[in-house]
Amino acid sequence: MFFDLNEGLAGFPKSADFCVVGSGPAGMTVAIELARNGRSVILLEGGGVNASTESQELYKGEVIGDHYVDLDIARLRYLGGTSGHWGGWTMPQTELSFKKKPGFEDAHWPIEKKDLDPFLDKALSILEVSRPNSDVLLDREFGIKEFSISLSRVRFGLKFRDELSSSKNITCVTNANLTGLKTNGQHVVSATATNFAGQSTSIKAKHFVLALGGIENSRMLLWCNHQLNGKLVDSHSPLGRYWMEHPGYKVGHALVDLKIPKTDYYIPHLLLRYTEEVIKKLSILECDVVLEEIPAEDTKGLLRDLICVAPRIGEWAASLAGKNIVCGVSLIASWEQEPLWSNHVKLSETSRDRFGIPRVELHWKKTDRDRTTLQKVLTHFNEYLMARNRGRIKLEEWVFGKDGYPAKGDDGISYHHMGGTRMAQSAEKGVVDSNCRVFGQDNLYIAGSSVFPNGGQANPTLTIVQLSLRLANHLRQA
Amino acid sequence: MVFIWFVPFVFAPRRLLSKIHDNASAKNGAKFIKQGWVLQEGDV
Repeated sequence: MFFDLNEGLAGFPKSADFCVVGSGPAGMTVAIELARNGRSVILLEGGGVNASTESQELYKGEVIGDHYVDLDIARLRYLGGTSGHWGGWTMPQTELSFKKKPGFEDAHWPIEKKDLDPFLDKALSILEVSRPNSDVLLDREFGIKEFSISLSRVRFGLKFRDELSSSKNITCVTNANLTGLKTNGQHVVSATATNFAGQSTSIKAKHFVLALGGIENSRMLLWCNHQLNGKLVDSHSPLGRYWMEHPGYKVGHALVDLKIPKTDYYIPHLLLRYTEEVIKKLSILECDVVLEEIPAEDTKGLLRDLICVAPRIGEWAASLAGKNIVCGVSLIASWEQEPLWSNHVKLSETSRDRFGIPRVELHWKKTDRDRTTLQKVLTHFNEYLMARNRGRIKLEEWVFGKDGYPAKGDDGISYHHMGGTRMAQSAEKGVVDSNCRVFGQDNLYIAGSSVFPNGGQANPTLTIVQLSLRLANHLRQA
Repeated sequence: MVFIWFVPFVFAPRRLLSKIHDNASAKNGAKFIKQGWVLQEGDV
């Protein structure tokens, strides 16, 4: 059943087994899974069935630190959430992501990969993709692997709209903006939903799940906690802290004697990552290097450039290019950030939205460790190319500079918002426990990438869906 | 002769890497950067 809160506060149930707030991949997965198992769910979506300016405006905020895109274009606020414009790249987290890494003691999950694996096939089925191919080891000594992704075209709002309409167990209330929570101390009693006319209603449930997105989960918990004088979240919890992205940049070009696979969804490209051993040896976190084929004319230009600068190797490359062995590629590198206390979501002290809630202030800055990671990743790749006579790379000047990154458009941005309400074994280390329950409340849960304690190397959506299925499974037994 | 580059470039101090990039055609023994290209002796 659908109800539009803008059309009035009456006419729909105000209590259910579960209240899920947010209808993106996380919230929708939890809500649908619980409803399919016979539980009553009220699903609150702040936006409408379609995108609107007035809803999107609520996502405005400020980024303090490094270059970032405007926060109201970095995410979508309507049915289906940001899946309305996601890129669809789907891959599971690596084994390494769940392990402790020397030098990055906090950057690991309190659960194991085997805790998520049982939900992989179902998550893939929701995303309507097959399991990506296993990694192929290209060079044992250099620890270079080719990896694959699957491409999902699922938009959660479109996919589940009919089911939301026909389901007797879900009441989906649109234009229902979360503006507050009430707790009796350890137990959330109700959520306040407010329409765009400023009228509010109270929703009661046995359990509450916040699935507002990788920034809004922190913002709304900070706000609700503030309203409740700190009685919502354990005072030791690092709420809003350890926010992360996957910085990624076009770092240059290369002429390579490597097979660049063709795909039906994108220009030919080769996806590379390093083995666990190499990552540990280099003392970096996870990373990838993408080689994207460039047009033949651009390859010729690159060859001419190389011949001019280094005639011997240039002529070698040109001779192979004549046999279609060498091709020109763009080099793109992206990496997992170290989780840092200083990168955080904060409530603005100067700007509020139409509901009087402080807008978000996102503090995000890359560190020397980010630059070192990028340099090590590329240096190792160059070592491989030279040692195996597989080509040469041409790097952008900033890569080995001391500071500064390109800062135009979406340079360096993957739109992957992670952390802020991270999962940990204790309230001192995180905001939610291994079942995504907020420390300090017995019936408040968080779904989405804000619970990620590290970024890993994978695009986050598949993990979000796996975690949401796991959460729904846990809640069914609650 | 791959093995002559036994000391991996990857372990070159960052300061040094920055330095060789600043001086675009300066040679660092085995490997150097010239007009953005990462090259090694014998390439030019």
